[in-house]
Amino acid sequence: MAASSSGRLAGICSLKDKISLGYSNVFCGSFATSACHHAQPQIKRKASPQLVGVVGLEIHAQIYASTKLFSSSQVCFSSPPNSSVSFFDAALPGTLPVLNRRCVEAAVMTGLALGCTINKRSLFDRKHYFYADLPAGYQITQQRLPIAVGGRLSYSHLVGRKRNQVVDKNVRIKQIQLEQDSGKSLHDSYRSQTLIDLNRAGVGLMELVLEPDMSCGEEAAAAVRELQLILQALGTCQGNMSEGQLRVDANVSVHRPGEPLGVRTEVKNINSARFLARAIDYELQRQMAVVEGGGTVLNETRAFDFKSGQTVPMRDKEGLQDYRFMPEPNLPPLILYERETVPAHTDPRQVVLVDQLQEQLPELPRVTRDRLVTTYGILPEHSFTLVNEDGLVDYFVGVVQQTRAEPKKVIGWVLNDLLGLLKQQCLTVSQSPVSPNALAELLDLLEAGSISSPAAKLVLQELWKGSGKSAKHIVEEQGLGLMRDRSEIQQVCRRVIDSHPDEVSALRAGNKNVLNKLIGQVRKQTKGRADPQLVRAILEEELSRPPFHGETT
Amino acid sequence: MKERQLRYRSCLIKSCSAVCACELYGFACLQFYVYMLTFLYSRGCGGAVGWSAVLLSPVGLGFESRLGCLATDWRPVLGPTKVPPDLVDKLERLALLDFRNQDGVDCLEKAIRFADQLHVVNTNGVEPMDSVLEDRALFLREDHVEEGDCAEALLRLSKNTLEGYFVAPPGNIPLPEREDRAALLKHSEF
Repeated sequence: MAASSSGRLAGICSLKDKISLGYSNVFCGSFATSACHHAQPQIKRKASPQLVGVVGLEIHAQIYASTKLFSSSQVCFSSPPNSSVSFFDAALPGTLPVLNRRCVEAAVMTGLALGCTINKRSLFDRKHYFYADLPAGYQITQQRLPIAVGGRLSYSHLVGRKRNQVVDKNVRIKQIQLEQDSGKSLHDSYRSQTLIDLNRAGVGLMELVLEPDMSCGEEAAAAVRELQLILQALGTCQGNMSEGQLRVDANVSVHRPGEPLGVRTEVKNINSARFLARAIDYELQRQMAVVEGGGTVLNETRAFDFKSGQTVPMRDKEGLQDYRFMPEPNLPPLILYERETVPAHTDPRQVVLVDQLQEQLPELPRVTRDRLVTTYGILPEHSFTLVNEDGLVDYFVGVVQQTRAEPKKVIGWVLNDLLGLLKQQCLTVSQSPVSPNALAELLDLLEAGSISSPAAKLVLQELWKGSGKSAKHIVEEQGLGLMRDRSEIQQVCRRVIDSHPDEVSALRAGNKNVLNKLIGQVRKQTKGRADPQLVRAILEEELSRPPFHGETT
Repeated sequence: MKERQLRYRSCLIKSCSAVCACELYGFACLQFYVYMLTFLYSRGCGGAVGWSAVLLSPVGLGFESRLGCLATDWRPVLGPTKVPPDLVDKLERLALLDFRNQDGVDCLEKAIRFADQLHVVNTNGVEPMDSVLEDRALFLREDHVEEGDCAEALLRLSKNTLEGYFVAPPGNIPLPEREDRAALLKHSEF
């Protein structure tokens, strides 16, 4: 069952990839299934069409600001417990909320970047529930009239066996609302008590509601990844999922296309993009199994347990929640302006100008990728890798501008060699011991034919050690320069032929593949400094001559 | 600090069909830790649909709360309001309140009757409003750190702390079932 389900899920993803989606999620389901039947002929269903997954997301993004949404206490991820808590955050009587201008700007920028309509007038509401890490007994949020509505997140994901086909998708954004974060509870089951840290209480959040336009975990993960890049480009959220700066809840259901949507479950506790995909796919499979077994899916909240890879029902908070929403009486409506509409004699610090923020928007990841592909002629999938790694675009452009080597050659060095070394040692691009300058110099040597490609890799290793020596210096010091002297290479070739009689006789018997082994030996003895083309030519020439006397009989 | 002064404020609240004007009382003393304004959109209550405002000023937290009665010199316009026991139970659960006994429920009914007067006001063609301050500009604060670093002062307010944390019971304590609550409150003075 599990195997067939996962096969089916993979099918759903791959076939939907072939169809441009997003403009109408009403139809995308039926497209998906009809195609699904073609793609998955091995799974035969007699009566009804196949079940498809429907996934919507609620994303909480912590706003990157110095202070909280309604109080001027500091936002800091790892400070001592309860050290950045103001009287308002602790809900002491008589305290009132004072809105942080930066949080408003961040929400407007995020809304603009996602093509939302910015509501020039938005309202705050109280949402009530009782929990120890919510001292006021309510959260201030924007239920009735949020700051931004109706946008679209365009994302792409890579499919195919080599993951080199780029498929573009869209997911509609219902709204973006400003709200307060809650405190943190640490559960001490041993002593049966809960420890409360209010440092996070009152931190500004943007809640982004994504419509159920996705159909599997991989799509959801790709959408979240793209959103993460956009937020980081805007600087409105740092987007670190493991630190809880970006938290995702998934609403998951299954249905047969053409039928009404199924009962959905909400999956919580997801703290990485990888787990998001796994949690959603597990939940889709589970629901498909329930529905196919004739059961009904319960409307419940489930938590993802990353150890077992399963979702488990969460202890419910006494049946259906009633949040008793009411208007927040302490905050008048939030009014946003454009340059044209600002009333006269208004303090500029008291207004947020939507058109001004629109003009200040930085380049978004999608545009960066397109620019890289068109300007430097690199492959689209390479542009994804560059953009996904913080600082790597600048590094790549830095190298390209300083070297004579083609961008298409530079990309290989940056993505395979440099990024490989960085990943191996868990370093970020900014921590790289090899500067763009140094790599550019190395690639120049390679381009000029002064060194071979294997020798260049050795030089890179040497540069990585951070001795401060330049590439040229290392080449000279270690004698890694390309062997230009034909007779010198010839000597090495002869030595290799002499020491490998078995291979030579195999070659003479007609096994041409053995030549590569001999070339490898020559490369090894010359530390890769000999030009492989030249080596091949010399070896072929040497071997076509009559055998040496030592070799006969 | 200006914005955190104690303020008493009236707010005018309008919903689909009615306007509720509710006076929010300030704090008589620090023991009145939380006050809550609860709006119940109650359907299926004798077919009547309406907003009811219940003003509550619980003493301390949670269970020891007490219903604050409102001025009752308005004359009822919609006839007596009856709150069925199931609804009382739901309200107590949602708001972590305890109406204690029949007197408490009578008081709740009076409060609802008080708010129901607002149904009489003709609001046709009037734009709903949330607050009498809604034509004021919302003050925007610059993003500079000015508060916090008062963990000690805050922790002193809590009965139970541990290494800089507040200590709370594990999870929420559910309100006992109705029958148990009645037994629990046998010796209540209310």
